[in-house]
Amino acid sequence: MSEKTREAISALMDGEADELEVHRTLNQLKDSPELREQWQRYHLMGAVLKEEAGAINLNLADAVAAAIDEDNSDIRSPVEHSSAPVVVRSPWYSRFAGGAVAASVALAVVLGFQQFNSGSGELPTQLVQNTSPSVQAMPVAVTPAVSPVQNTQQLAATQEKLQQYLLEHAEHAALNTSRGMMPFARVASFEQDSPMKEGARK
Amino acid sequence: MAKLGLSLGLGILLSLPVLAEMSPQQQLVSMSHAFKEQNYQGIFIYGQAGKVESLSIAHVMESGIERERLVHLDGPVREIVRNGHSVTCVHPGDQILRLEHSIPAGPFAQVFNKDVAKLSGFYNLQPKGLGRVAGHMANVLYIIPKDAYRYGYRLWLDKESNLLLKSEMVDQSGRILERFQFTQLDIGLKAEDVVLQASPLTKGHQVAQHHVPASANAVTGKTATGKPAGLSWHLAWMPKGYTKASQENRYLGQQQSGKKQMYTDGMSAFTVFVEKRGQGNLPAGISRRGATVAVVRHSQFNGGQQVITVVGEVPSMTAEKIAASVQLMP
Repeated sequence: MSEKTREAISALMDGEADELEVHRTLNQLKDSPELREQWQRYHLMGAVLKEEAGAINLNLADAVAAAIDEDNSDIRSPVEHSSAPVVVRSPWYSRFAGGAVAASVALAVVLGFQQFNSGSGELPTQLVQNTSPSVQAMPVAVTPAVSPVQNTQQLAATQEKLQQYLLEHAEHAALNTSRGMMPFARVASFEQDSPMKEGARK
Repeated sequence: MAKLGLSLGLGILLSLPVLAEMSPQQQLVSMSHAFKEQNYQGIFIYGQAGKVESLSIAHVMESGIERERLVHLDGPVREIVRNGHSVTCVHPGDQILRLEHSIPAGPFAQVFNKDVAKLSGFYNLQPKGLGRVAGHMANVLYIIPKDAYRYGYRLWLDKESNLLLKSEMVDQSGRILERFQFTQLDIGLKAEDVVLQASPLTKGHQVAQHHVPASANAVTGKTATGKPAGLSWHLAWMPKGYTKASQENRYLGQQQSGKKQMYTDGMSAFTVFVEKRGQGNLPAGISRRGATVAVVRHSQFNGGQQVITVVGEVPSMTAEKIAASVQLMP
């Protein structure tokens, strides 16, 4: 993998990649298992270093789907882009708060693209064998309909709800498996990562 | 010839202690009992998803009543105190662990005890000699799944009490997903020497107490006919060896009602939640942290929309297959 590609991934993760870079990097990801692995490693490392709650987030398939339009017609050609880089860059940022979208995309990548459509009721059939699913479900243009604020709220609500399920599961596990209160240690670990917990610490 | 005799003699001598020891199955049953019946106090580390935390635990079994206290030593002050079947959680600020504690009274880990003989049907139980953890000699036991639907375990059991000193949950490639390990532990203490009072640090913090509700129906949203208000469903598929551990209806707010069901194979557990789709549902998708995975799936049945959530310490693929196998019934 070239240094340039590495940098592109890094930029994408940090929300600093422009539209074109995002597109190009995702295309490369699609073609290179090695690159996908690298991408995942970067994110795992990032998650550990930042101790961010991202590790327990859902991939928010719906949110990503809502936020990211499949229509790529908005993507400018390289020539257009290079002729007016600043103009292209700023709407990308102002509209989608760069990082928020990149984070959604990143999350989906970390979680191995194992999203499924809520409507169809069909699971991907190759889940068992498919350890490096395709990247085709990763359009990059974004509809203006969903604001970053909504995404943030949705994320917080999602975490809270997920937490509730985990608690209920752990409570049962503590009483029904052989390891005493250990499942409660698991729960409290989840809990400590919730945004609300951060607030309580102050 | 004499040499051969000596070898044979040695062989028999060496094999005698092995024969006298417990089988892996017996060790596991004993481990389950030890957790419940021994008096112990110690500090353990718990690690998953690149994080390690330390916790203290104190446990007493006195006059048939189990009392237990789990304290987080890192980060915000959090304690969980159990007195018989009442669980109390102490948290700073507005943090409340919402433990419904709706499990009916009964022996701890009853499913495990009952089904331990069956474990060998879906796990290979392999003794791996001796080890040492937190100053205690330990029998090492590997529990290796026979299929790809569950994780494996490496257990270190105290040689004398069979109390679990260390455990690692591993995936198919041997990667450790979750680690639990005592760093200091006293076993066989007198009940009065074990500290079970909540620490002064938790004063002024919110205390949430949880008891078995006097009338379960009052809070579980049952209809007048006594039938559950929630959705009826069953699993068309699950990995073999898993059995129902508990069932209850639950009532979430005004709009949602649903039903959850836990299944366990004795080593691991997963819980299935089925709810009517309403406000604030999780989006469809999958989330993983350490050993725990959550799969959310949206489905349609009889003109209604449902949200199926599977949470458990199983591989993602297993949770996905389970979620996909939920069949709703009219």
